[in-house]
Amino acid sequence: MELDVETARASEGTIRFRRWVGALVGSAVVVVALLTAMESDAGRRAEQALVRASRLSLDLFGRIAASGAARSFQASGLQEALAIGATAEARTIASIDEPAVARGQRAVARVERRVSARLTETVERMTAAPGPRSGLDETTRTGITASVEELQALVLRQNEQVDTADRFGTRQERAMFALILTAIAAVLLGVAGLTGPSRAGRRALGVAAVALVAAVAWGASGLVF
Amino acid sequence: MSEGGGTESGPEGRSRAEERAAARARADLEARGATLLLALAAVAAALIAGRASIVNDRGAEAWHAATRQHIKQMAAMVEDVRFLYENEAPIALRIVEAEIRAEEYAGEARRASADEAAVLRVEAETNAQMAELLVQASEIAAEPAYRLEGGGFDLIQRLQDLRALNPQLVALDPDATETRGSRLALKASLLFLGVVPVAVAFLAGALVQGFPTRRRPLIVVGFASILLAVAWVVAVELSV
Repeated sequence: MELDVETARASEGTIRFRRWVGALVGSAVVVVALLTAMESDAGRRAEQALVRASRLSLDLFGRIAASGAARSFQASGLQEALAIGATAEARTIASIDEPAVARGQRAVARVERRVSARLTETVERMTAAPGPRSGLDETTRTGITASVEELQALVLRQNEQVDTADRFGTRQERAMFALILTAIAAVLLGVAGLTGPSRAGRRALGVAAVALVAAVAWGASGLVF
Repeated sequence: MSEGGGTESGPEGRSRAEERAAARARADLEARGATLLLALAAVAAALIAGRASIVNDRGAEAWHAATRQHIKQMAAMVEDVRFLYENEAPIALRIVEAEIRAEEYAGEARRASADEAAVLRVEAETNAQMAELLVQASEIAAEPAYRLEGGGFDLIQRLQDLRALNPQLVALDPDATETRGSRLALKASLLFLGVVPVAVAFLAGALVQGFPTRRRPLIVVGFASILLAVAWVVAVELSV
């Protein structure tokens, strides 16, 4: 009779042990599925943010180069016009002490003043910012007309994308580590399944449960931080 | 002997034997169902993950293509702008300046005395010849269509024409390519979520061993989860 009771107790313990193994194996699979989806999604978002950051860098370099070339041309043209005007004034002043050529030099100075004024107008006309209906493609138009404020805004956006890539990269790393913990839990569950409801089996089951909980917590921490 | 699993006799004994046989048959059926469930879950997980991985690769490829297109687009744009403003426009501006000087010297010569007028005419002629000489070296100045009313040249029109020399580079649309990549990436993420109900099906299959009295509801939940996963994948494929 005592033997029957012990056998019954042993059988009950085995069933409970199997239930735990089954529940933890199933849970491990669910955790793996969730962590894989999370890792995959975080990886994609990190990559997308990196692509955007790279493209914004290209935008920045392109706009700086294009607007720089256009502005440089405008500035050198206006400087040339200003220099001609300054030459006219210098010529007028210098000719005061040279009466023999003063009239001729003043005539030249008058010409230079008008040339300066007309050249300034012409440079401004030639370098006027093209509007959206200028016929120029949008990339080139926004490139040559880029302002310092626009470039600063692009720098901010680019930095934001890099930060986003960092954040999702961290999430991906945590999900991967959590997957490793889940794999360890799965191995321990396998050991528990092989050894059965012995002391070693129960210990393996307990450590597997702890590893699984740690994996969930570690993975979830990637969503918070 | 009838309760010890031995031979049964009489109608009551046959009935119990039939019940046991039916129970065994049911248990066998449920065990096969659980095995089938686990096998289906494994196949479904592999198929969904494989499909999601392919879609994900396409999305990543589209993103990288967008970056490559952007590099080409920007390089072409910067080169056209640099060529115009650093090579062509300065010569055009020198021509404009020489033409203005020639006009102004000639005008001043008409108002000046004879001695001064001669010097001013020489200056006018010098600048006019300089302008003529430079026009031959300038594609902008050589094309009357670029002349602006009021003086100068239409550099924007010239830039437009330079850009039109490589229409395939102007037509590049990296934004559209990136958007396509993002759509595929979203699709891959949603497809990956389809693995979760499959995992639930696996969980149900695994629990069948530990809870023999709840085999049937667990198997039903498992198959329902796989159906849910299939429906999810089909919905994602059709809508995203």
